[in-house]
Amino acid sequence: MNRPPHSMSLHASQFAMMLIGCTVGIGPLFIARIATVASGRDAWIVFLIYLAIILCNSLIMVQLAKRFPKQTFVQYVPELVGTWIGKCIGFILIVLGILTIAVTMKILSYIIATYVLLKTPMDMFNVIILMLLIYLVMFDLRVMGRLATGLFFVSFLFSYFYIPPVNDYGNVLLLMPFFENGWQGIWKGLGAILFSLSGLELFLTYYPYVDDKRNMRKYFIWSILFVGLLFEISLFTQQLVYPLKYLAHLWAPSIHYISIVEFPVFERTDAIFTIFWFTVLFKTAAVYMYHSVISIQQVFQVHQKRIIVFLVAVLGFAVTKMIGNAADIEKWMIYVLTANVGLSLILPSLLLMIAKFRRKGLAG
Amino acid sequence: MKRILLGCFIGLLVITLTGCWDYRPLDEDFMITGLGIDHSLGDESKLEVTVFGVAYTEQDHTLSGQGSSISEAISEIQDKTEKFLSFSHIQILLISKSVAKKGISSIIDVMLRDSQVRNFINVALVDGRVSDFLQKGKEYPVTGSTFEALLKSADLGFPNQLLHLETLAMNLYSGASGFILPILKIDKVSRIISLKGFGVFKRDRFLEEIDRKQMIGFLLLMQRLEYANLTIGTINLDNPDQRVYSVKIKAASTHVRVVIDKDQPTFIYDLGFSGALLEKNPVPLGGISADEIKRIESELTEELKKSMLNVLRKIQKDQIEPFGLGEYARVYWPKGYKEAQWEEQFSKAKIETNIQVNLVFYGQTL
Amino acid sequence: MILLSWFRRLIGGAEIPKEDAQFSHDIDKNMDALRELFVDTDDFRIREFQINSTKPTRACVIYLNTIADEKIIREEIMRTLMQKLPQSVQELRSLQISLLQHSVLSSSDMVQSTSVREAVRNMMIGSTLLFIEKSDQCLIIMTPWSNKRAISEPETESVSRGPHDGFTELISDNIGMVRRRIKDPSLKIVSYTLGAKTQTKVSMMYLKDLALPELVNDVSERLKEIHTDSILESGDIEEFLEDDALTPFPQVEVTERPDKSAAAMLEGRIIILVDGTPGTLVVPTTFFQLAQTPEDHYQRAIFSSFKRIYRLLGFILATSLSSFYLALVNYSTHLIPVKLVPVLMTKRAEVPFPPLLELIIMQVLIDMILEGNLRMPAKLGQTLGVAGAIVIGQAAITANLITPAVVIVVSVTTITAYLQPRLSNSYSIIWIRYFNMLIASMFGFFGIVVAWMFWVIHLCSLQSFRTAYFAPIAPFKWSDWKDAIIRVPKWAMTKQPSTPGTLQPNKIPKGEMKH
Repeated sequence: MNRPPHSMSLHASQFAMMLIGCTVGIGPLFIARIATVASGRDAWIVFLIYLAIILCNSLIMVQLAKRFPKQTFVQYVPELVGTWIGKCIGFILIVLGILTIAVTMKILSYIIATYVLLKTPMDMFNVIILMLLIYLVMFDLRVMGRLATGLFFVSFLFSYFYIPPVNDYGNVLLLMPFFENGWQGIWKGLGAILFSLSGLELFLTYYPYVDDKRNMRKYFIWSILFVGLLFEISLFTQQLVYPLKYLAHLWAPSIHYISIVEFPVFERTDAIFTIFWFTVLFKTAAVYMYHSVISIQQVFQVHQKRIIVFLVAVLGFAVTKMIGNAADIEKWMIYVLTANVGLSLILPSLLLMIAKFRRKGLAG
Repeated sequence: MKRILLGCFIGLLVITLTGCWDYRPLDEDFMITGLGIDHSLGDESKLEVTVFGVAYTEQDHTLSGQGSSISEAISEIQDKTEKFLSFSHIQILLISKSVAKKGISSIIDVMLRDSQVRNFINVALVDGRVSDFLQKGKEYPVTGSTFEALLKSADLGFPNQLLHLETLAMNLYSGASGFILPILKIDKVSRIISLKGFGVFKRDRFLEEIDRKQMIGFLLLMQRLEYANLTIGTINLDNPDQRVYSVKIKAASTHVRVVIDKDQPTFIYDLGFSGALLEKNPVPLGGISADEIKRIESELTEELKKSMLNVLRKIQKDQIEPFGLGEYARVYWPKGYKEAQWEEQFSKAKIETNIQVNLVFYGQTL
Repeated sequence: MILLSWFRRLIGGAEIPKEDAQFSHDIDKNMDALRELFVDTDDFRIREFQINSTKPTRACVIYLNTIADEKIIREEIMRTLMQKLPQSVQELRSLQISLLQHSVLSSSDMVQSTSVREAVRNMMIGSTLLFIEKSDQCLIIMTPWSNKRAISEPETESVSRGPHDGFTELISDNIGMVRRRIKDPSLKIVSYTLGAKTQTKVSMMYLKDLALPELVNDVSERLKEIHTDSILESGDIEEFLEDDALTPFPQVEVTERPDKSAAAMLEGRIIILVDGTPGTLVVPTTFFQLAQTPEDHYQRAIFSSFKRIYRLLGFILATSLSSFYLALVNYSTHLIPVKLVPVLMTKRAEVPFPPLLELIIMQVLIDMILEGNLRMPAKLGQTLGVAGAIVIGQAAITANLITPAVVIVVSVTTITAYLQPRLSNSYSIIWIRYFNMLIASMFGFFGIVVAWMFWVIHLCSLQSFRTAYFAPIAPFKWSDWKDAIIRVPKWAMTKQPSTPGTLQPNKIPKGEMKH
């Protein structure tokens, strides 16, 4: 056995794949329903506005991360706002990370229990997924980066499933008139879809581990654009195909619309589609799990990794036991992921101002 | 090393000690290919569900059960067989007219809710008892597929999507307040199943029957006609000048305009067709003249217009709107449009047609 | 001196002598120059002696003992010169190279030269250099060694187009075979004697101007650290060398083909030869390199690309078809096309065993037949094949013990497993297949996805001598796709593959590129 030394370095492109992988998982499943229920036919416009806001915010995040090139978010927050508040913020991030893992796993096992294995208890899926997660997170960050690149191609093969067969079913009238509910509807919709781009905030955690920072910042913006575009296409086409009331009726419209297409070989494409969601949601959970483990190590100054990985896994499993039915899953998902995005909208700009004011970190 | 082995051992233990909950080999399945829903013979308040399918060692391929709900009826069927009922291969859902009169939205919902059922199964109405249709015949083993093929091959420009459960559900939840389903009939003696006509639905209830010829007008109003065979004229032996001809028309362009005049909408259908001459009697020796072509085209236009207006009159009288014009009204007539009263508004709406037919193909002879 | 050599490497001159380099009159200086050029070259030989003239003259012969015929050198050059010289020569006061050439040595092919470059180039093809004192001339005598032992093509790596020679059990022959393909002084051979009891010679070969120094150090460190008492085959050192022994994926490539070894070295990789066995190790290797044969490079690009895609497809079929069948029949019956249902169902119901047992019985039987066939004499092997085919193919189906679908599945997986050019790879496929089957029989399609997720994570975590095993997919290297799953034409492959990486990234020097 000649195992190589532990390495925590990532390529910029690998980081982008990780980010895309962990963002693209949950959002598209539910966004069409949640967005249209909140803001009606304007949902696709709302998402464009949301994307613009997130892009502006990502520039702020880049500025903040630039000042602390060798530290993760939880490491430099105490420097800016004092030890205790800093530790509290770190703790909140860890809790949110664990909750996100639990919610992702629960969505995944719910999909499997609905479409593939109907009688197997959901805890079984959670245990198996956790075993895989532990196996993955025990390796160094390099393995995670490679896996993200490898799985990106799997998702790439399936990504045309994001777009339903518009040519046969699409009806432009379903999108008109624009601005039906005015600014009020858009404001309402913005609050509702805030959850969808959760995962981009992990940029602040993984920033110090990437080799070429300049490329990474470029890729970060590009990956937001890529994911945003994918979401937008998915949302737009689903609005084109499904009447509003019907969208409100479906649990996960994205999986459902596959049933419109008739394939000659496979009778049922939705079952195959769940394979794609497995890879994508697994990636989401894995990236968040690594983030939680790193944050715990840094906030509590522990270097033992093995115990922390098991601890996070056990905590995640415990949270999944608290989540019950589909309505419950959705409630938890919206709360947790909105908190993720909400923190990433508020904290970086605040911290950037404090850093400029107190002249911490590298200026410029 | 010890730890790795221990981990592997625990992992294997977790996996192998589980019960294979979903294990159900293929030979234990009763694969339902056709599902029928009818009223109980004696009791109108109960549903009778008939299933037809493939099962090994199953003597009777048709089983029926009764109950107040579909699930109850199905559990009664399950009691009659040692195989597990599997709903994943349903090809067709047959609903009797009497059930359809009371509403089919709950049936659609059951099918849609079950993730096992394919969403592109075909739905059709039947004239008579459903259990007569789902019987073992020469079509064994997959009767459901035969029905599906029968509907698909019907010589009518009927888009197959309109039969799918998914489209039906989308219609039910969208603005359109009605839809159509094909009606099948069975010959009592020869047991041959064929297409009888179409049933028009108001909301989710079966309302009335229309025949194949009216169907052309209906599909034109829905903007879903793909092609149609039109025959104009009758053979009269006494009159040698009498003309009969058949033309196959194909939709080239469809467009609906909405013109608002004095707060009242007028829907204008701009339709273009290309036609192919199939049959002509008497045979035009020496070729068809330009005047003759023009005459045929104008007659076709008249015929299409007539069929559209006939259907429209009937539908407007029934106060339903299965054509999806509600979406147009919502977008282009926002002031007047009221979703709740749209059927009433539609019954007073003006509809104009603007049809253009071009006879393009003549076959090998002119 | 170090600075100078560093500078030389920096400007890309490597160690090839300059065009106009000349030998000097000092024999010691000449010897030193060549010694420096052939540092770390195990088969480089300098033999000093004295010419038996009136005034004894110092002389030396220089050659590479793996490609030069030592018998000719010994008997026709050295014995002639060391014994009594002809009277006419003896009488001369000083010895001249030209005199030796014309009057003493009887070799048919020799030439005089003062150019270092010409001398070295001839040495690489088996010539011997003769120097004498106080002369800047060197005599290049053709002494190529021709192999007397019949060289046969390795059975498991035969090609329809390409050279048909294979390594033998003698390490010096093997080095010679590689040397004959790469005539470059930067080809280095470092030898170790390993195995306390067997004292086996193990040689590491690489091209100094291509292979990364870190890689060379890593391999030599690992070789030095091997402490064992017996090395009889390259397999004995393989497990000491690889990064992770507990995995079905081999991280060291084994080949018996000299052309393959030479090609590997030309990509900056290292080959390790072991005395007493034709099996040669190539390190580092990647997952996709294991599915390549030398013939891919000899056939035309579009055909070899197709073949590689076949092999990849074969890998997927061989590992997953049986688990796919299990998942389909046991769990996801809703995925079976409706017209296939009655066909599968009737056959399935007549067989008493559950699908998993059926598959395992068949698979184990087939694997046993294959294993038995390996050791059976060729004539008996046919009988075994016939017996196996009749018993399993016909009788089992007629007796309703096995369903026909299972026979098809097992045959396909068995055939596709041996599409892989490496036999060791086929064995790893069998391992993966059983694992996948077990999980698929528990969880159906979900199990297959989990199993493959596990394998992909595992593949991503593997390293072969600090090189990512799953490259060029993860980590993603776009430029390496030219020679991974597909192969582009040779003129498009202008760059060396970035795994493991080379000191000279360009294959064809800029400016010399021609289409």
